Amino acid sequence: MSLEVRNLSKKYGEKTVVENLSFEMKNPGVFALLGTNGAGKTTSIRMMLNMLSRDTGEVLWNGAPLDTATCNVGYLAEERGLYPKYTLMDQLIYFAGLRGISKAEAKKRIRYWAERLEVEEYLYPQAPKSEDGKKKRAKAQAPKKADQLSKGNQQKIQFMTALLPDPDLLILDEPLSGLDPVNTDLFKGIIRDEIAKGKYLIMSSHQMATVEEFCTDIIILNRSKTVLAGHLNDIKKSYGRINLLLKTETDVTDLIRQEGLTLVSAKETEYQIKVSGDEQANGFLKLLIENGVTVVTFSLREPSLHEIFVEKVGDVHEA
Amino acid sequence: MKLRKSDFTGTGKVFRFTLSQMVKGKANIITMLIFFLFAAASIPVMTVMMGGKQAASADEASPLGVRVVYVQNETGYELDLEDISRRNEVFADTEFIDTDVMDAEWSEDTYETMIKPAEAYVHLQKDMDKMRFTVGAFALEEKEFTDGDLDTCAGMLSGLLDEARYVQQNAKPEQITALTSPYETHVESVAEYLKADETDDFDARFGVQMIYSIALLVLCTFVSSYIIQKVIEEKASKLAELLMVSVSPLAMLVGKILAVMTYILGLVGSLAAVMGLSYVITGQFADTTVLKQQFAAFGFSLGTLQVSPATALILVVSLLLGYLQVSLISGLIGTGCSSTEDVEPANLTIVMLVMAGYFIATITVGIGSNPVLATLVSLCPVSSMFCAPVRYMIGDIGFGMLALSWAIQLAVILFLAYVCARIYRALMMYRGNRMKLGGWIQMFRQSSAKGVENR
Repeated sequence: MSLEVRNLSKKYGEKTVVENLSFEMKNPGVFALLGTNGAGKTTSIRMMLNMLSRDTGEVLWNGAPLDTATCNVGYLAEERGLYPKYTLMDQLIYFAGLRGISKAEAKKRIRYWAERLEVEEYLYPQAPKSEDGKKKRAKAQAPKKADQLSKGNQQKIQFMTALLPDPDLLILDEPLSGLDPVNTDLFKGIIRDEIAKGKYLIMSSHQMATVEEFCTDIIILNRSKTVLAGHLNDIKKSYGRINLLLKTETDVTDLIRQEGLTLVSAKETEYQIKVSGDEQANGFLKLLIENGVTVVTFSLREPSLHEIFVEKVGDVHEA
Repeated sequence: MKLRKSDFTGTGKVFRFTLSQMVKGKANIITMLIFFLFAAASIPVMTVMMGGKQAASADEASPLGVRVVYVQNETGYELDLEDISRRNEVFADTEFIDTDVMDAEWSEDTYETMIKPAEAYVHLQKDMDKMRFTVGAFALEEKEFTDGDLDTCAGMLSGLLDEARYVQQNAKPEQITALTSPYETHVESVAEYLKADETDDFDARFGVQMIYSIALLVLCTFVSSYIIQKVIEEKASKLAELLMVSVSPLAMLVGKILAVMTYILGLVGSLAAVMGLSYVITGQFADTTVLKQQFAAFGFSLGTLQVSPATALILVVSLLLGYLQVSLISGLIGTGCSSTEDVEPANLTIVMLVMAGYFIATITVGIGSNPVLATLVSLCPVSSMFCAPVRYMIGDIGFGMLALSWAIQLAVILFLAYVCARIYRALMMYRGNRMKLGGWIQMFRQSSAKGVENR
């Protein structure tokens, strides 16, 4: 299986909202679609899913134009929505039915995902139990409707709708926004499971740490243009190890200045320093030793995705 | 751009879901119950209000208020007073007493002291000099019946006197019947005579047009309101994106239109059944024929409508075409809304459009049977759904013209479906102020210019 997006472009009047977006997923994994607000991420996803017409470009799944007939797609839209006045079970069965899942099978899958997402109590309301654990002969609670749920729980139900068809391609637009840490971990666990199952995931997010945790490939959009694309590790390697974390027993601020390094932050004798690469770092370490400085920590690392993102988007903004 | 079969995949599921949610909706259940209650109560209430019991005997005539009639017969002919109540039921409660059998002197001067307020005195005399008969009917000032009742009594006795005279001349019963048959005279000028015909024709034409137009108007108003609510549902609930991954927008629209149609027709059918049942049950306790009489008095009768299987089929086809046109326009206008606040003005737009058709229909039918006008209003979209079937039924246009009108309406429906297929997806994704006609045209042009199918 493979996904290929070629030269997607979209204009609204004179305004270009997406310009020649291209990327490819040859293997299962997570592809991150990153960008500032209004960069064109959601528009790109909508074009990929044929919700919006494209000015140019095509999206291929296994070489054929992508649609629900050629690819089993699951989609968690940025705009979260459910019918507020219909029961959750009715809605889920309906959504599953639209994807060709029989009612019996849908019920089975809903049960499974309700357990995974910990929303059973909303989908299977039961009669309250008495103290001795036996069910009261009271009237069972009415089936829950969407407007009776918290936002987090609504998001779980929406996530369930994306997962119900057991999709080969799962597109998640800001999947973790608005979730508390517990539910964030719950969602992350499910995303990990989907990756392990060999699914193709496209994720749009502003949470760089999350993207870094899951994604193998990224594309960064800024003002409709692609400013960076490729394999995350390769991108990071291309930057080199430029972040130096230094901890000493004495103040070395003068030595940092002497070597011409950029001090990003300093907290007592713990420093975040920008270096140009391994060579400059080694030279600085030598200088520290020559000056009799006791080095407690000397750690070189590649830039984080957050730093790359800010650098790339910042570059364009400055330009 | 061609419509593909895949554009309609999922229509059935949307239809079933929409219909089931409409039936389950508490507001709809309450509305249905209220409608059923009104439908069930309407027949007995109307029967009572229209004077069911009185009307029940209207055909048979209601009894007179005169309890006793004292008949002083000085004509020399024998009258069979006992036979009167058998001849006419209005005299069922009235007793006719021959004064000859009474021990009293009756005359026009003395009767006032001898009768009661519910009684009357009739004096039949023969004037030999002038060769004529006189029938005088008298009652007290404070009489408890109408002058009409008194006239009826006098008329009956005059008739009896005539018959007695013919019998004495050896006339046969059929001759007597021929001689005493009632007749009606009607005096009017030529102008009045011609105007009366026109009035009858106008009543019939206007009645038919009104009934059909009101039925279609109610249907369309219901439909537009429901459909706009249904199509805006996904946008207001932010579900459009989620659903559009699974089902084509056109299938979604068609599924909803069919669901609303089934719901409304089901509702109308159920109401008709409830009213029918109520009619039967009410008929057990009161005379419901008064309803027919009252409707007939207003010019509404099955005869006026000329209902037959063929006309019923024509009406069904015409209603269906009208429904589909209004549904698709409602769907498009509704989808151009982004929030529930836009529903009211959107609905108003449809209502105005439908009202325009309604007024054109009712006003033009009142103008008369101008063939050019009839053709024009029968072919012109919007007015055609109101006018064409009625104009055909009242004979203003032929079946060929009706078929042409249907063809044009079908073309309008196909065009609207084409517009839907072209821009409905974009409309679903549209956010902003309620889309106006200019916005639609622009959206349609853009989709045409790009040549990109909105699928």
